[in-house]
Amino acid sequence: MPHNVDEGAEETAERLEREAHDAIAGFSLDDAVRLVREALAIREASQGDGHPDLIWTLSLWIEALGRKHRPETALEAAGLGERRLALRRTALASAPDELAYSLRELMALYTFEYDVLDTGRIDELQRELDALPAARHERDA
Amino acid sequence: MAGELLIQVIDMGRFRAIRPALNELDAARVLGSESLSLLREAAASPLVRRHRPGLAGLLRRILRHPELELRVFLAPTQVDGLIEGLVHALCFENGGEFSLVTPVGPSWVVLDIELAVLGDLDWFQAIFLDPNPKACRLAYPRAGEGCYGVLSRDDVARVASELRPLLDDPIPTEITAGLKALAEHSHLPVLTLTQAVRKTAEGFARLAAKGLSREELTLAHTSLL
Repeated sequence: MPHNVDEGAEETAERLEREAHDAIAGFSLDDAVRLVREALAIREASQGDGHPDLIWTLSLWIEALGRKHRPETALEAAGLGERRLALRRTALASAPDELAYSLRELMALYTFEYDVLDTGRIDELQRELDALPAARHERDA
Repeated sequence: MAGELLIQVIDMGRFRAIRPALNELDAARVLGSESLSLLREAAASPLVRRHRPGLAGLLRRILRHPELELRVFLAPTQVDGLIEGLVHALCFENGGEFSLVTPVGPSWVVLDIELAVLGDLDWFQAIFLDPNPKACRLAYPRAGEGCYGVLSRDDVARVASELRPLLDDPIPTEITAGLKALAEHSHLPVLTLTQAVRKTAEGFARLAAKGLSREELTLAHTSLL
């Protein structure tokens, strides 16, 4: 995949992501969100907004928001999950079984405790999941 | 329950051997052939297959797609869980098994109320309650609640030696004083507390002896938050 990669920027983003990862583990969630937001901006500028490296950055952001455990952050996490899924559709083109896991993860992001945040979207994701050969195979096994 | 101290036996020789693979997993990129071999070994181990279904599932997913970067299809918590599971399964005695219900087991000791007594002892404070734990921290698991402190062999020898008086009769005066104070505070009989501390000390001494039985072994400890 050709990309105009700025090595210095990538290293900075990696460092920020590592710091965010540690901040999530230490429940410094506002710090984690700040760090990961910065890392994402750097990656978007240096690698482009379709680069698969953005998936990890988004995953960190989603985890930080998930640990805040509030309905509004859950919805924000689901929005980021949509973007992550779009990137994963390309990165996991050769691995439909893994795409199935990603669809389920996004469905989980649209659920906060016992509330479904977007029923229509969950139905769409479920239909897509049902149509995946990997999911059908899992169900039949 | 919270704040208990879990002490277990770890094989540091094994940990050092798998450390490069743990570094690779932590980077969450494409894994090299040696790391993949390690994952295959873990996936094939009866302990993982029977007792760690979550870890076994992650290993299956990774081994099904060795060409993919881990960061593309796994979340950071899954990578952390994978690393923690591998360290437990491959480096800790009995796969890192422990129980809060059975605080003294064949390869673990959980210090709960006993901490109130042992925590007052200078040697215990110096070894287990170091305010600068980074100096002797196990490199993995790196994140969060699963961090472990690791004892040097000198520390394990000191634990074994310092525990000896607790196994004899009469119990040392400083311990008796601590037990009396704890009995007043907790409204538990001194005899009950004495028996709990004695039983813990016996299990702890067995672990220390095991830790000293081979050069590569030592004791690791973590706080159960």
